[in-house]
Amino acid sequence: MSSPRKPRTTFRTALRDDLRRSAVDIRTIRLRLFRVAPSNWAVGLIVAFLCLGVWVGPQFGRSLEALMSDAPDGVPMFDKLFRLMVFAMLLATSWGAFRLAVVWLGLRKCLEGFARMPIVTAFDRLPPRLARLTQLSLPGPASGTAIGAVADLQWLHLQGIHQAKKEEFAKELGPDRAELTEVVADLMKEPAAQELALTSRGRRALVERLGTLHDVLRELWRLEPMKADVNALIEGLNKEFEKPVPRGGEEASTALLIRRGFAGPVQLWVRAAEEYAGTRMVEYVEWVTRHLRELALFMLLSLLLATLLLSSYPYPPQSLLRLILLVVLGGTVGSLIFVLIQMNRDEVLRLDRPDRAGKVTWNLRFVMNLLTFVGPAAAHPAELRVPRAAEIPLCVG
Amino acid sequence: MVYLSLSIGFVTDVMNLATPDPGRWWLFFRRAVEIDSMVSPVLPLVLWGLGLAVWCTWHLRRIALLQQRTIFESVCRNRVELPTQTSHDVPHRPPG
Repeated sequence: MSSPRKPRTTFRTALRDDLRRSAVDIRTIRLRLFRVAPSNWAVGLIVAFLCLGVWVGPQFGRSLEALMSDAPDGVPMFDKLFRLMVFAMLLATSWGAFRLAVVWLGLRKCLEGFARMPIVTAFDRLPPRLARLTQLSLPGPASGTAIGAVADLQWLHLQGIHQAKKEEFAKELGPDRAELTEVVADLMKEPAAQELALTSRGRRALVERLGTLHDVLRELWRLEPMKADVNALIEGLNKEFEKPVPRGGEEASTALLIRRGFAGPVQLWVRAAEEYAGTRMVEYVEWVTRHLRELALFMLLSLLLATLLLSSYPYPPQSLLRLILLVVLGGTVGSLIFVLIQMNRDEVLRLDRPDRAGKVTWNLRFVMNLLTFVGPAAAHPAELRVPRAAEIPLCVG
Repeated sequence: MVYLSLSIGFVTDVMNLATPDPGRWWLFFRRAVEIDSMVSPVLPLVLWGLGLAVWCTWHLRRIALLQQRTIFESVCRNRVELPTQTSHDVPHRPPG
């Protein structure tokens, strides 16, 4: 009996699975950003607000307008309008907080996928100015342009490395992988300039370029460690153990030393290629972060307006409405803190401090982000004071 | 639509205040223009209008952002659309 034939592994299919997994997460994120109801749990929020409406509805009193109008059912239009405004404002704020948490959970799943790829070590090496773009801070300068410029420069470097070490590159890969060498050579003929990106044809070229680069990277990862890397690793560890107090192998695992080494021309090229691909992945993360930032700003403004709305007009049961607003505020601040802390701890988003992944880093940027988004929201309870009866002027006549 | 119909109803209510007693309408007007009195019905309406403007601005920006697609997202999307194996695939051989 012959053994079942093993499926053929190819350099195009191998990474495709990684990208396919990411594609599922990315599709989920896009749907959550696109749909009005980002997930099925939104039904729970609507039900909660319906129950709240049923409970609070009968407790509503009459406004000053009701004293002056002669509406047949005793509830003037202003009262109905005011009730609608209050509930819509509270629902919109809660909806924003819910959406923020749901989108972040989608992004976190996608980032977990990134962290499983060998490319994750490249995130440590990206320029620090890219790290700022993946944080939930206030909108800065045109970020997309900055990322595009960095990617262009990285592509130029990649071409330079390949051009300088073309022969050694082919030699190190060997005649068995002549086809791979050819694919890399063809890829390196692609221009770095992004004037292509302005047209749909140029954009397609960029997409194909990144796709092929991923395929090549995956194949090269499978070849690790190359002969030059093994020699360099042995040499490095030997030198370390010759020291009176050797520390080799204690600071980093062998796998990490191999991943971070770049002894031969192939590994140097892989290192630069990983950074290019990593920059393109950061571009995506930044796009989602921009959505989260817009959402956080909307939540802040919505909370502010809801507080002002409840303080702007005496409407019974004012204290109950303010209590509900306080609960909504707690949920909003809670979701903001949850997202900010999770982003601060994330392994991939900690581009500037990879050693601090999984731990909260209390640096100036994090404190500023907390103050920017959570500070104003947390300061709202001061505004939620119920005015004394004496403070309401008697202008009814 | 609910908001629109309620708003039209409110305007009708205000117009009806003048009949039969124009004094009621005058009192309402005085109270409405005293924005800082905290009993003006105009202030909640203005705040609600601002809230709607913020809501609409956020949605417009969200839709504008959704129209963008990053290079990485397009690559992932293409991979899902591609068949499992293509004629360009190169067989993997172990190093040696």
